Amino acid sequence: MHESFLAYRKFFYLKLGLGLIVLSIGAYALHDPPHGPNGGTWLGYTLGTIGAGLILWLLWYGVRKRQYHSNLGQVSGWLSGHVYLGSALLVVATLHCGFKFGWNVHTLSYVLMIMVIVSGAYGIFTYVRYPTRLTDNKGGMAIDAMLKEIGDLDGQCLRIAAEMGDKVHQMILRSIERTSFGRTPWRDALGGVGKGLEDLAREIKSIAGDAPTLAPLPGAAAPAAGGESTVFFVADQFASLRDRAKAALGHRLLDLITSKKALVMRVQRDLVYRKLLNSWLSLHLPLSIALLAALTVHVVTVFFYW
Amino acid sequence: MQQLVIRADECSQGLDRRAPGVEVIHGETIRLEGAAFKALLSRWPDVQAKMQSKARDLLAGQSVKVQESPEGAGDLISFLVNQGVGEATDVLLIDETLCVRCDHCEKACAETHGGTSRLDREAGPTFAYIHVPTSCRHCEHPHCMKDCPPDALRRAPNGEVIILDSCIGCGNCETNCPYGVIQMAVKEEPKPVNLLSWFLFGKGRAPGDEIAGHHDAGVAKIATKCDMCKDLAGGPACVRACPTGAAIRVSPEQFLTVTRGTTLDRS
Repeated sequence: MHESFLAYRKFFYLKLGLGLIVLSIGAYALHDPPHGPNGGTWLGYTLGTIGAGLILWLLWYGVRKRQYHSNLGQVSGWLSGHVYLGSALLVVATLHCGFKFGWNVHTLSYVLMIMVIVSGAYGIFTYVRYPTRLTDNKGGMAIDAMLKEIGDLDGQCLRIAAEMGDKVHQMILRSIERTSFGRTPWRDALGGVGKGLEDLAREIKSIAGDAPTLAPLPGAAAPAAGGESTVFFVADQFASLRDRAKAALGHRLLDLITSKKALVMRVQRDLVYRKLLNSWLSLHLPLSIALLAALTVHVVTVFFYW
Repeated sequence: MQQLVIRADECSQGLDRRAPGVEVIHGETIRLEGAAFKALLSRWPDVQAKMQSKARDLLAGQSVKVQESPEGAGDLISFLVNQGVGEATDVLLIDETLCVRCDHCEKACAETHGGTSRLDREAGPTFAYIHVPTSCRHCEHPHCMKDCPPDALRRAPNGEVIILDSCIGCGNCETNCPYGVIQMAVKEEPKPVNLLSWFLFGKGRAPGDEIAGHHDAGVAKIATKCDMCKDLAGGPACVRACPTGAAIRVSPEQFLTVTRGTTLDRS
């Protein structure tokens, strides 16, 4: 029932693009101009006109997708054509110039076109790769719900930390302050949470320093790098504490922090995936505008000054 | 109705069969005595023949659908039914393997409906990558119609549940809708969009922007909801504006088609 833009109307635009490529290559192979293939021959002009027309039509996609009242076909069909005919442009433009390149505005147009197509190809890659990951990462939970849950966990952590002393309370506060979404790079935010965990583990050791049974339990692994190992190590340490009430509090606190860390990571991943889905456009669009400018100069130069 | 035709046909043939049924919407059961029904039908042989032919076609169609339904399709159907799709006449479904979260569906809705989007893409549950956004299902028995003082909620000739201009903004329909698809919005025509000015200079309203004051308290509002773009040629704007083909509108009869294309690959 759902039909991907890549498979729009049984790959209509893919077939159209391939047809254009085959026709262009066929004509190029049969064409034998006296001074070699170039943009100035009848085939060069023909392919150039087709290419320029295609570029204008491809640019119009940006307008069409914002014309919400338009009945000029579905936008998914436009995107399908945008993808396949845009890819075909690679062959059409290359054959148009007859593989003649130089340090001039004509080759600049060609290079810009290649850059636009490559950035667009990366865009297709993101469109295929990240939508599913976004859904998997959310696991049926809305981002708003995750943020609310993180807030709730912070509140619970603070309540428990208040019973464990000022130092633990301060560390939990610091950990909460370090947790940020979007403003700082996500790794920093996650590092903040992880760092908070390590600080917390050290603090707990110092609090229970006079306990004679603080040595690791048999089979307990030493803390390795990474939040999860620290959590397990500290949990084992708690199990050995004489003060069972405090140990229970500590266990609960670590559980909460671990849950929070998992949620923070999911929110950050969500932001990263969304950014990846859009960031390529910040290259694709300016390059397209630059291509339009270079193409205009190229065409004007060819017709009026050559 | 299909079940009625099939059961009636079995009855007319004197067959004694039992079949379980699940009620997905509010319904009523009519009990007809077999002998009396058979006697009644015998008076109109052409009606009897027509019913038998219809029953055969329906049974054949159902058999094909069941055979083609992939394993796990039942779970997806159950999910959709739980989301009220069973009582819907038309529902927006988003395939999250295709959705790039561009929100063009919402923008298209806002742009074509006075600057207020009638759907919330992000909200709503997801199962097997099929997302049911917060958008009117155009229920067979609309809950929103229950308590409307000016009787402003009506069903259009093509089945859409619509709100007339006589809405007084009491909010009863918003409260009564179990799917949260009705919202109160200011009645105000948004300024027109100048695409070139917006693109080149960032001036003016961006295409699809919702009107300001939409969420302001104290401003007079009326109920708004999806009207299936009944006044627009070309069908629902949300579906037409989706760049990847992720958004579709389906009727309950099309569920099996949806599940056939999704569950096998994803569940």
